[in-house]
Amino acid sequence: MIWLFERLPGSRPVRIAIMSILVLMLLTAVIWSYELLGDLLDSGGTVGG
Amino acid sequence: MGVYLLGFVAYQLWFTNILTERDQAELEAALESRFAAVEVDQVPLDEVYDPFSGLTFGTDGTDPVENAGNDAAFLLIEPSAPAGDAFAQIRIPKIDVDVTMVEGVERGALKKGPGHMSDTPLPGQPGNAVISGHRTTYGAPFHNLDALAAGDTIEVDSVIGTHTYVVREAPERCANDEGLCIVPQTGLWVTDPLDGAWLTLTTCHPKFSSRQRLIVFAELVAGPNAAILGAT
Repeated sequence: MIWLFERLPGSRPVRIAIMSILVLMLLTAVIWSYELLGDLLDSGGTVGG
Repeated sequence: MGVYLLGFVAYQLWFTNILTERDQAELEAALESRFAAVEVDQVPLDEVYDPFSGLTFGTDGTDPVENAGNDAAFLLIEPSAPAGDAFAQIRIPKIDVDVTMVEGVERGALKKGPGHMSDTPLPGQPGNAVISGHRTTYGAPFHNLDALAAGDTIEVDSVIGTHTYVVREAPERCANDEGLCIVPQTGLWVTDPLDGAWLTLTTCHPKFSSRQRLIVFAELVAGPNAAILGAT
């Protein structure tokens, strides 16, 4: 993260904003994949469909 | 990768339970509002459709009113709740279950609590009311469903009143060596209409896998509609 932060263009506030967005996107991707993988553990017990 | 997997396990087995606990608190309040607001209808039994026979009661050659020895020829009926809304409370004393159920079995609905399969009758009505629930995530309401055996009781509080069901033996068609009814995820036959009034619970099997389904069949034995439906 620090490695990426130091290589981002712009002033410090701009780099913090970019990093915040990237972290948010990463977290969203992780949670979304958890939802999909979660169906393998327990899909809710419905039958059919 | 290790951190990702740890995060996955923590999210599924811990964090989803917190989400469901929060939802359940809201559902309990919503259920009280439903109980206070919804009016129960009385429908003449000979106008009620029997999902098992495909006819209205009284047109299939039997007379459930006489069979029940009950003069009240009316069935109590409640309107369905909107999808995702609270509609009833289910209690299974043997496995310590006491949760609010929601209408529908869509992914979002089941995250809140056990869901009622919308194209099946509501609990307390003739036919086969089907309820699905998570086994290991989102509050895991049906975690110990495999501990239920014939004779155990299940109670459902709906607008109409409290319906008491008794668990019956697993049908031969799906019974395994332990007497549990296990079917593939495609085993839609478990939702077929049954003669009388039944409650069918479905959940994933085995634990931590959605490969198969564990099914529990329970028959109505007491409640506001039990006598008129000839429950035994």
